[in-house]
Amino acid sequence: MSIRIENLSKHFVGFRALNNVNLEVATGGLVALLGPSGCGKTTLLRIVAGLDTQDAGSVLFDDEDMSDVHARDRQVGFVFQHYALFKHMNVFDNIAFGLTVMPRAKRPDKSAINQKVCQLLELVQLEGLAHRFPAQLSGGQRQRVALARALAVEPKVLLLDEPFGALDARVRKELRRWLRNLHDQLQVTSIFVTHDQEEALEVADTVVVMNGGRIEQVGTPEDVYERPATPFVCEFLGDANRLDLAVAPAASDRSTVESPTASAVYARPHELDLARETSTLGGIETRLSTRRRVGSVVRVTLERADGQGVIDAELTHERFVSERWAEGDRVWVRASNPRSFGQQLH
Amino acid sequence: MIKAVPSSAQDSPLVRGVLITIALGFVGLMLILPMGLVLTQALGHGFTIYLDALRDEDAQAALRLTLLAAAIAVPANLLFGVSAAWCIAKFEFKGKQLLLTLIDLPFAVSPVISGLIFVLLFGLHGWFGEWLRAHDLKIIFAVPGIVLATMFVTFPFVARELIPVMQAQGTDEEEAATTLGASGWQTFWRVTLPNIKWALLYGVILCNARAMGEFGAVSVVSGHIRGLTNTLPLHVEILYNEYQTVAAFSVASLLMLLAVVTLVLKAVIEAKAADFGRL
Amino acid sequence: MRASQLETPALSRHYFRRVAWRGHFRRESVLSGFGLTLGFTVFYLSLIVLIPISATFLKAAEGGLASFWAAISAPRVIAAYRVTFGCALVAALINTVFGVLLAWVLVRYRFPGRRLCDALIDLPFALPTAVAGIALAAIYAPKGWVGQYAAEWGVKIAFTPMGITIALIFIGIPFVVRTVQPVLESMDFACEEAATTLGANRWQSFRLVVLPALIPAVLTGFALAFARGIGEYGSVIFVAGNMPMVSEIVPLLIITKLEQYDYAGATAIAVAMLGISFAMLLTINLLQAWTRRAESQR
Repeated sequence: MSIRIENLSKHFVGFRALNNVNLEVATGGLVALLGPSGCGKTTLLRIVAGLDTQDAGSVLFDDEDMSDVHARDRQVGFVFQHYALFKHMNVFDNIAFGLTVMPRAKRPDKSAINQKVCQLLELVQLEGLAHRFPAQLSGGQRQRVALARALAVEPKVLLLDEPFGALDARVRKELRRWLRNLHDQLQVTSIFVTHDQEEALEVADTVVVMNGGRIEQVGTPEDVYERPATPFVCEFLGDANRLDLAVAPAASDRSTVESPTASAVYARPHELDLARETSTLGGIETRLSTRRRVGSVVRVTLERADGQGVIDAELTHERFVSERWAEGDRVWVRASNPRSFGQQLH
Repeated sequence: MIKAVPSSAQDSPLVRGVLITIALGFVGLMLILPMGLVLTQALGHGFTIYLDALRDEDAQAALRLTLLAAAIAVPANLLFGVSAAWCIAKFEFKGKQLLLTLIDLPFAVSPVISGLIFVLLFGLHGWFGEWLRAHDLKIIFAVPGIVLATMFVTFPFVARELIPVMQAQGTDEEEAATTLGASGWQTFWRVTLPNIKWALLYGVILCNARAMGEFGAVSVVSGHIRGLTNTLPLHVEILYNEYQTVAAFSVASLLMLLAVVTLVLKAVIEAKAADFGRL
Repeated sequence: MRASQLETPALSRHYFRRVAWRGHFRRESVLSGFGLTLGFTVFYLSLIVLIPISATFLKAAEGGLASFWAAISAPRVIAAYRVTFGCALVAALINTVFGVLLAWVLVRYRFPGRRLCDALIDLPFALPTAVAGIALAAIYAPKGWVGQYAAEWGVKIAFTPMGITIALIFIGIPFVVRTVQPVLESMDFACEEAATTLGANRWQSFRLVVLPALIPAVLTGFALAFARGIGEYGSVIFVAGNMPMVSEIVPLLIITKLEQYDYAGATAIAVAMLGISFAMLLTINLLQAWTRRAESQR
C-alpha cells in the first residue's frame, strides 16, 4: 500500500512540530525518517498510525483519506520504541493478541492462530521462546517479538519508532541487516524513525531528512549523502567542515566565489586534499596542530592561518605515513568535492 | 531492596545493639502489648465464654451490618478508584491536580466530622431532613447513613493505590493494543487490568479494613440502636461502657483478627508485586 | 542513566506533546473512556464528598459570623483545642523520633524478627480504632499491665492528657516510618562513603549527610501524623477520661454538642477544624512535592 502525506501540519504552543509536510511512500518502500531530537519525525509517524491527530492536512493510504479512521482500524503495525510488550503475557500471547481481539466473525480459530504465531516465531527466529515472558528476554529478542506482534495482523503498513534505539551497539548492527532482509522478504510498506544517520543510510531505500518540523530532503541514501540539498543535510549526515568563501574554487566555477554573498561551502573530512605547497588551484593555509590515529585512519586538526577556526581532515594511515606529515607542518587544504549552498546555486 | 551495607556505612555493634533494642522495645510496648491484651482479656475466662460472647444475637447483628456496609462501600469505591485512576493516569487534562487533591479530602477530615456532614444533610435539622421525614425515609440513625459514612471515610483508598501505579506504567501498552485493533474494553480488560491487579487488590484490602473498622464517623450517624444500627466497632464500645469487659474484648478480638488477616494479605501482595515489579 | 534519557527523542517528544494541549481542556489521545470515567469520577466525588462538605460550610454560614465566632471561642472549646493540638503535637514529635529510628533499624540492620516488625508497623492502619482504644485504656488504667507500675510512682496515665498522647502515638506510628523508609532504601551509600573518606565519623556523616536528605520525608511524616492526631476519635475517647477543660478533645466536643442538639455549635467547631485540616492537607501536598523533588535530584 502506498502512503501519501499532504500538507500535514501539527502545531504546539510556541512550536510547530510539523510544518506543511508532503511526502509520498511507494508501495513496498522502506523509508527512514531521519533527524535530530524534536524535529517532528516521531510526531509524523504517530499521526500516520492515528495515535496523534494532525491540525491540518491529510494522510492517505492508497489514495484513501485516513483522517477519520481510528488507529484501531487503520491496519498499521506499530513497533514502539520501548516495544510496549504486554508484560503479563508470554511471547505467544503477545503475538496472538491482535488476532484474538478481532471481531468474532473475522477472528481465526484456535488452530489457525496457533499456526500463524508459529510461522511468525519462525520468521523472527524465536521458535523456542513462545512461553517466555517479556522480562525473560534480551533487548534484541523483545524487539523481534514486538515486530512479530505487529506483523500478526498482516498490516498494510509497518511503522517503527526508533527500532534500534534501546539496543546496544553490537545487537543494533545485527538487527539492522536482519530488518533489511525481512523487508525484502515481506515487501510491506515500512517507515521507521531514527536519529542515527548510519542506521538510515544502511537500512532504508529512501531517506527523509527532517529538521524543525520540515522535510529538508528526500532521496536515496546515496543522494542525501553525496548530494545534500541543504547545509543542514550536509552537516547532519556525516562530518562536514564549513569552509565557506575561502575554499579554492575549481577553475570552472571561479565565478561562484568571486561575489561574496551568503554562500556556505562544505567539505567532508576525507574529501580534503592536503598539500605542502600552494598550487595553481589555490587552497586554505593551515597548520597541522594535532593528529590522532583511529584504526585505519588518521584524524588531523588543521588550524587556519586566517584565524577562522579549525578544519578536521581524515586520511588513511598509509598516506599519512608515506607523505610524512607531522604536527606543526604547514598545510594547504583544498576540497576535492566541495558542496556549496547559496543564492547563486539556487 | 536489600543492599549490602558497605563497611564505612556500618554502625558499631554497640550502636546497632542499642538501636535495635529500642526499636524492638517500642514495637513491643506500643504494638504487641495491645494485641496481647485483647487476646488475654477475650480468652482469659475460657473458650466457652468467648464463644458465647460472639454468638450473642446483638453481636451477630452487628457483624452482619458491618459486612453489609463493607459490601456496599468497597465495590462502590473500587469502581470509583478504577474510573478515577483511568482518567487521571492515562489522560492529560486541565484541573487534574485539583482533582487529585479533592480525592484526598476524606483522608484529611476527622472521622467525627465525616459523620457530622451527613447528619447536616440528612438529619432531622439537615438540608433534606424535612423532605425525608415527609416521605418517611430515614438515612441518619439508620443503615443508609452508616453506609454513606463508610463510603466517605474509605473513599480515597483504591484510587490512591492505583493512580501512581498506572501513571508509572504510562500508555504505551494501551496504544500498542489499539494499533493491534483492540477496542477500549478489550484494552482495559486484557492489557490494563492484568497490569494493575496487585495494586487493585492492595487498595481493596486496605479499603475493606477501614470500612469494617470505622468507628468515629459511623458512631455519629448510627444512633446506636442495638441489633439495628450497631456495627461491630460500635458494639465493642457499648459492651465496654456497660462493663461487659470480656464480651467487649471477645468482639474486639474478631476485629483484631481482621487486622491480622489484612496485614498478612498486605505482606503477601507486597511480595508478589515485588516479583513483578508492579506496585 | 538520567542524563542520557534526557537526550533521547522520546522524552522531548513527550515534552512537546505535553505542552501541545494547552489552550484545550485535554490533550488528544487515542485511548477511549475519558468522558465516561471523568464524568463518573466527578459525579461520585461530588455526591459523596464535595456536596456534603459544602453543605456543612453553608450550614455554618447560616448562623452568621458573630454566633460562629462565639461558638468556636467559648472557653470549653478553646480548652479542647489546646488538649487536641497539644497532645497531637507531642505525639507527632515522639513519633518522629521513634519513626526515624525504626525506619533506620528496619532498612539498615538485619536481625531476627525484622520482617515481623516491618509488617506490624502497619497495625494501627489495620486495627479498628475502637479496639486500640479499649486495649490502651486497659493497659494504662491504674490497675492495668503498665498503669499499675506508673501508679506506684503516683503517675496516672489513662484518663489524662497523657493517655490521649499515648493513643495518638499508637495511631501515628506508621506515618513517619512509611514516609522515611522508602527514602532511606533508595539512598545511595556513596555519599556516606564519601563523607567517611573525607574524615567524618559515623555520627557526623549521619548528621551532616544522611539526615539532611531525610528532612523532607521526616517533615511529611510528622505532618501526616499530626493531621491524623488532630482528628482522631475512636482510640482516644476510651483512654482520655473526657473531662471538660482537662481531657476533652475537639471531636468528642462535637459529638457532645450534637447529642445536646446544638447543631450550630457542632457545625461551627467542625468548620473551624475542616479549615485547619485543609490547611494541613495543603501543607502535606507541598511537603510531598518537596520530597519528590529532593528524591529526583539525587
